[in-house]
Amino acid sequence: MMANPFCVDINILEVRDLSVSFSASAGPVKVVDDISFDIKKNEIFGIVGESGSGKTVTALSILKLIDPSGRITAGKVIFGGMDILKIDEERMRQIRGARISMVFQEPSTSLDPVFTAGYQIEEAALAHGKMTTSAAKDAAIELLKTVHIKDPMKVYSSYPHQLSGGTKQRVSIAMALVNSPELVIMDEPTTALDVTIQSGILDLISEIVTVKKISVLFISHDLGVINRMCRRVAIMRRGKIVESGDKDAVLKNPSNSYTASLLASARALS
Amino acid sequence: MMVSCRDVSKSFIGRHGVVKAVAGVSLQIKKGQALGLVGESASGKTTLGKMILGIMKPDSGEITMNTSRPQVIFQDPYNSLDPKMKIRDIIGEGLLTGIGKLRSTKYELQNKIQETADLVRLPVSVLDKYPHEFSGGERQRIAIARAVVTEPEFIVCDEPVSSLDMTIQLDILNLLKDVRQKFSMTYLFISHDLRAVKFICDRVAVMKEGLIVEEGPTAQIYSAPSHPYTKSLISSILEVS
Amino acid sequence: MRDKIVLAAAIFIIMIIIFAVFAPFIATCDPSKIDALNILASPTGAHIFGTDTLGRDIFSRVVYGSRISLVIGFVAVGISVAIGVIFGSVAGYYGRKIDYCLMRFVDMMLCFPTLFLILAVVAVLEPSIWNIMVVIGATSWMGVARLVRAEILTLKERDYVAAARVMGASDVWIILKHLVPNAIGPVIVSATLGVGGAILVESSLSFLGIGVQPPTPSWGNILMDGRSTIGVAWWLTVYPGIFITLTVLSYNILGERLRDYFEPRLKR
Repeated sequence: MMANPFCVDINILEVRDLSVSFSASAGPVKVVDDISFDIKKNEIFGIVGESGSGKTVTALSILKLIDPSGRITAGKVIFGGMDILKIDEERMRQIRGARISMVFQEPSTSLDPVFTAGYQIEEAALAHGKMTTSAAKDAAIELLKTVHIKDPMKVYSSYPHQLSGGTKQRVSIAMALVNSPELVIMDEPTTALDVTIQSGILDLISEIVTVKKISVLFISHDLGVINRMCRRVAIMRRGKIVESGDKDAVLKNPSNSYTASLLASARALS
Repeated sequence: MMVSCRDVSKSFIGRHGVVKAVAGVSLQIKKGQALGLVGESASGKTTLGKMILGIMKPDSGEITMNTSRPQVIFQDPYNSLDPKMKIRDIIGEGLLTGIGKLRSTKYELQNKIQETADLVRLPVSVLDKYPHEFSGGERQRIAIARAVVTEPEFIVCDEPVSSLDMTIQLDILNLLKDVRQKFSMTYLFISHDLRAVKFICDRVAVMKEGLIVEEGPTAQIYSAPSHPYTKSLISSILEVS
Repeated sequence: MRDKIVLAAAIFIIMIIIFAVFAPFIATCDPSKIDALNILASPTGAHIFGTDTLGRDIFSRVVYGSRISLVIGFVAVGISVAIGVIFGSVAGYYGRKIDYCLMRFVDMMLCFPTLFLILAVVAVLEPSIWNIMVVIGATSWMGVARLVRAEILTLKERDYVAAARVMGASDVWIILKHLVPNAIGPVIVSATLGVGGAILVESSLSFLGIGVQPPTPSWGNILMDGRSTIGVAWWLTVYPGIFITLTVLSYNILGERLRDYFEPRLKR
């Protein structure tokens, strides 16, 4: 990792030779097969893939959330100067939700229906023991404003079922930001939302990256969204990264036939 | 005129009171036309589709159909095929029961089933297998075969490609195009995906909260939308170049 | 370990079925042969389970008794499943008023203490095997009905049912071709557990003297015989008792295993 006066080229996350297997009745299945990539500071890095490509498992593996059904069989994930695949669960818990957090695809299932939105954001802060309860409450309301929720006090005391899909996703993003993480992993954050709501959320994500200077690992199957959001991309297929690099380079001049066919399908429909 | 809806409405009782899913919709689909019905969630487009198919009754208004045998293709390839039935029986169901019932010999029936399976480009020896042995895209092909085997004049497609991977989506859309050409099929194509609708349909109707806010030829809607909601829909399409 | 228990249960059931089918070849004596010289003999060589108050060989009677238990078990369960599936599918499919009426009838039936109902019916009519089977079947279908109704309420919303409706398929076609085959899992579980229950009921009735009548051997009526002689001839009670217990237990174990198969839960 090299320091650079512009702070642009520092890697905050390095994945090396990562392999993940799941056990099936016919034997272990390699869902992620020997992949490597870097995420730089303050960038949005995209992973594009269709279903079964292994993109979600990659994200969950970085946070070591795939036990017990899956096993990381090889590789390193270097974050904060150490290989987080090798650290114990106690130290991993200090990283999860604090230094690396995650936003999931389905806001209706990633929020607990029996607690208010405000409570869940506070819970994320209090779980890491860094704030008092009143400070957590202030932070929660501040964040609800940051994610541009129109009536933060009302949403603070609302239950998930009373909120729209877009609002719930904003709450999920607020939860992911409450401990000022360095990296936020977003797994298909707008796929479950209506297309008119999508642009609002994507604008929000871009804004947060600029203002809070965080990095984002943005996972999607939608090339249009990836094109809009990411600076660099990796294309995954059946567990392998088939192509990666600068987004414009990859999308304009794909060197891999799979990438080319993905682009061709996307373009044929526009 | 294949389908004509006049001032159709349907309400449901939801958690927060009465919800007007469809609030007075008038629509016409000409024979041979492919009409796209575009809307986001809770726009009422699926409810309208079900009423046109006859599986739901409107609260008010009139729906006239100039065909006796509409067919349907659903969104979820994992739930639209009976897991306990062989592909042969799934495709052939329309020939054994109901409106499309064919009174011919077993041999002729099997022939027709095989013909249709070939038409949708299903791999050979598919007929004696079960749905769980196939991928999403293949299952949609089976669903299309099921819809087409009775030679209907009108098919309602409810989000037929929304659950599929992008490369497969194009495959299926092309297949639907071929089917349309071959049978001069009339389509009602319901989708939230504007790109898919543009690929297949001649005319588009945009629905929002139970009402049709704009309707017109595809090219016009996409290049010069007049209603603000249509404009916001079109502008949120993200291209790849 | 669990699988070994299931295997043991399956083997035991197969053994009982073999006993029932090949009874004439497995039994060592004629189960009705009275041998006045050998009353209440303890288990030894010729009579491995001993003899009863009339000198009849217990082992042979137990072997023949398995026929009764299995036949009554299967037929009674068959009747209850048939009635239950019909009630449950009609109620679940048509909903509203029909569902309401049918389910209130089910509630009513569930309020009856069924054992007493069976006792009453059997006391009034002759306690023939046929009557017993029908009565047990007619008073144990309610659980199946509820299960089937619950499954069908979910299944009828599936797209393949809607597709069939669009095709113009009749209600009967949809229920028989689509709904019942997909709802059959819980029914099979319930049926398996039900066989054990039916065997228990039959044994109870025979023990009370109003079930299968001697000389036809039934595990229950051998027990009845043993009631008065339990002090001097424990074998009259213990052997049929073991068979009843193990058979019912085996069906229960098998039923639970089938439940895991049909309704897999996520393993932790």
